[in-house]
Amino acid sequence: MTTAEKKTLFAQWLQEHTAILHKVARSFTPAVADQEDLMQEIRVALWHGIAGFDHRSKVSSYIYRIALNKAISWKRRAQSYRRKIDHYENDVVTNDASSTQQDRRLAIVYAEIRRLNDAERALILLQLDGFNYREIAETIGLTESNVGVKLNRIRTKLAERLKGQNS
Amino acid sequence: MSLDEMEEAWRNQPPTRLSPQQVVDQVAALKSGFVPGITVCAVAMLVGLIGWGLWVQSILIDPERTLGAAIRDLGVHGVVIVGMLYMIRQNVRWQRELRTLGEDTRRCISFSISRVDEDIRSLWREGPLFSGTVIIFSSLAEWEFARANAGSSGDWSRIILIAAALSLMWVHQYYRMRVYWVPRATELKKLLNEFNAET
Repeated sequence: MTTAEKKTLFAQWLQEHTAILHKVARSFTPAVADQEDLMQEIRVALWHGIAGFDHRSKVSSYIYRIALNKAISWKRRAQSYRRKIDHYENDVVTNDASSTQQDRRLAIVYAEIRRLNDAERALILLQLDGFNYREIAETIGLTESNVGVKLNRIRTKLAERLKGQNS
Repeated sequence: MSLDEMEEAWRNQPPTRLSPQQVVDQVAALKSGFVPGITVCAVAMLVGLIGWGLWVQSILIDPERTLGAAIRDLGVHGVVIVGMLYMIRQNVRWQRELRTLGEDTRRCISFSISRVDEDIRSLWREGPLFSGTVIIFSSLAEWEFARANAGSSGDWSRIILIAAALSLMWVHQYYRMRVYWVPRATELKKLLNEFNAET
């Protein structure tokens, strides 16, 4: 693949799938500056990952794979810094008049996803974005049955936690 | 809030789409991040290589160079070579890490664990080996210098300085291992166990 082809494909991926980067970044960190930092790192990883895309899976699934792997390693690296900013996490769920019910609900959803551990977070993100068990299993490296059981547990846990949340 | 409401909120997220100009800007931002880094590395390597070549040449053509000086220079060149090998190794590891990001998450985590373990092992294995070699070479050079100049006791303060600097570097790495690498390895292993846990 020439650099020009790579550049075109990369621009196309960014154009069509940038929402994945936003979702993964927001699920891993509440601070907007950190989200930007993480998204930039994911973009760099995507640029390098273009050559490794073998067209056997969907582009969105490949992008999710890179984004999740990068986010997990990024989180580890930025962890000491994150501890300092963790107390800002609740600020994301705002109740001011300008925010809509959808904004508030979404903020609660992301806050709850961030409370899950990395493994659970990766699984629920993929499911929420409509990937089936086989695709999730391939992305994470688990068996389909394992994915199913884990997701049931995560959903039960989320349901319990969301019960007390008023949107 | 129920799970259905959660899924509804997720589906109704405002679509994040980039305008063509934003895409162009992001691609440009990516390139601007690479180019200076690559250029600086390439220039530094080139300057280092030229300087090193000139130095080697000066050693080879100098008939008055003593054995002590030759050993000392050999030690310095050894450090340069080790430094360059280290940079190359880091680069190879970085490339490998990037490739692993395209693998499934479990494999990627396994790789990260092996990488951290490797860092911890090298602290105990390569660190002392490197420091020991440098100190032995420097001591040999000093000893040879003292022997060649009968009556001189040699300037051992330099060796002490080198040993102190290497010890400080090692202590710094040890500190990083305790506060960063070990917790990171533990957390990654815990995460891998989460994935591996049979249902």
